[in-house]
Amino acid sequence: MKTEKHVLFSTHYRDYFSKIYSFIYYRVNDRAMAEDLASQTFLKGYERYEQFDPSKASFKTWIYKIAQNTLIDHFRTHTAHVDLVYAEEVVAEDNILNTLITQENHERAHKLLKKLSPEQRRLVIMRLWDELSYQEIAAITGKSEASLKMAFVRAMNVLKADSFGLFLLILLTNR
Amino acid sequence: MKNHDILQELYRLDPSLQRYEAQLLERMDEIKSIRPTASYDPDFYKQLYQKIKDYEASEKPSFNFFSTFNFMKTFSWVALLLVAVAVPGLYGVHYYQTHPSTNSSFVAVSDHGFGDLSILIEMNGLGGGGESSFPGVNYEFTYNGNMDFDLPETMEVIKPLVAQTDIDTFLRDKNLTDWYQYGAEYGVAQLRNPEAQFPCPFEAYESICSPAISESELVSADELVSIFNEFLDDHHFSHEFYGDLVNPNGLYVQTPQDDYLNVATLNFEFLIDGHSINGPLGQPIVFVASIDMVSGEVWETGVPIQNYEISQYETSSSEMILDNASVGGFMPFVSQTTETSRVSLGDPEIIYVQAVTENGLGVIYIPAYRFPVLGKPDTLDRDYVTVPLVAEMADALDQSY
Repeated sequence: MKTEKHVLFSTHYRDYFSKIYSFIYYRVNDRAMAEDLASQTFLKGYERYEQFDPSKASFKTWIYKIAQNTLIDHFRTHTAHVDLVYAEEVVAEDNILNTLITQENHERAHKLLKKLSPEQRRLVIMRLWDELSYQEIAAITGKSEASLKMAFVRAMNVLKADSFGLFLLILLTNR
Repeated sequence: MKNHDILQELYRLDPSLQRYEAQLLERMDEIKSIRPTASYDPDFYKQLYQKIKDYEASEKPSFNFFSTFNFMKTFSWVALLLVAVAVPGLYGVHYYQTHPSTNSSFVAVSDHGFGDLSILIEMNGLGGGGESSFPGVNYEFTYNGNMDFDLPETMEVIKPLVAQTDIDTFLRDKNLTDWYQYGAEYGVAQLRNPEAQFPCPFEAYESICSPAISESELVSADELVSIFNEFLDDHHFSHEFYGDLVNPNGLYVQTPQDDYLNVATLNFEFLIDGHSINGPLGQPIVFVASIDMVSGEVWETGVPIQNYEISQYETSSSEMILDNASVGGFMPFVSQTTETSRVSLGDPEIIYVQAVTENGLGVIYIPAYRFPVLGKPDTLDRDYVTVPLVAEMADALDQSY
């Protein structure tokens, strides 16, 4: 007979497997590694499920936090894999970005990301790739929602400023 | 979350970005385009699920009385007894802390209790950081009303403290109960579809357990606000902390691609003492309430924090207020051009501007004047000019341009 813990965790597993797998995959860009880290994340989650307190956090932010810590541990001991978001933890950023440029040939988008500070880049990736809300990112990273919102506004100001087309338009309309 | 929803959120924080919508959408699409494809192997999904099941089977229960499990059980009875004795006494304290209609906590700390506020100008990038949307155009703002502002000698700066409300507890307990009964959000799914199974089949999650709401099931904005008001009344929560609905025409942002298909999101203006909390360009800071349209229940709410510290700071002079306002207040224009466009300002109202403190770990509310821009030129990216009313911030701002 299934235990209550197992029934509850199964529901969470079904709900969040895909998202957690993607969250990890985006940061390691390697299927085998993503599977290994996703396994570690969910097994740690199951092992520590008694410690999960819904009055303090939702399951979603709790399991994302475990995934993030698993990734950080991974990058502290493995420097060979591509990591865009946690790059500054262990690997020189230029290497990471260059590797991705070579791999994916998306120079333009990488140049855009490179204009952002590491913190802004991490936030933009969490918003646009992981589709996390400010509230969720705040719970995962331990930062305040207000500071994240301000950082995102600044990041968008940096990105919008990168517009040669707009510059031309303004020049033309001012003539 | 779709780009459109992210942008709407962004515009609430910085309306000036709306002018760059096309550029922002392009940038966001470019960044999204390099997101790796993360399709997983379905076999791996099943294998890991099996591993978790096996892991459970390998956990052997201990019958030692002093094992952690039994110790915790024993301890929980002792704790329960202690709680039974302590709760009646504590409840009064809890009630006092969580019912703001009579008990909002505004604790005074010493004058200048939050330290030197001028540093916030630098920390938040507010001073000298603003630029005209249209390079080559500068602005000078003038106020032609009564120049002699009748302000007290000191102004209150407010710091919100983290406090959990009984509403938070209620909602979390409710969700926990639903998890036990149905598993996560499927309680609502079952209301709509008695055939919804638990656990929901992974492959058919969207079609069976969380189908998209139809247009005929949408609930009007007025009705949603009424549900929310009733909910706050039930929890003895004052309405004084929220103002008008900011997004009356944009409540139904959920799409079949989102998680919560039945939920409408209400953004309310956040008020303290009748004054709105704003961003540096005068845009309102909002708090969110999510209401399930099928069950008519409040599902989640970020009701404002209720406990605050207040500290007195010397008020800026009328001259300095007008001086700050003339260049754009918290977000002054720094264009090097000599071409200047003169813009008139209307009568100011007192608001609070939210600034980030403590290296991004907290926020503080700075009293400010919000002057409406009159006859806004097409090239100007703001509707208001906000000016700090605290002398040391005003001085720091003055020195930054």
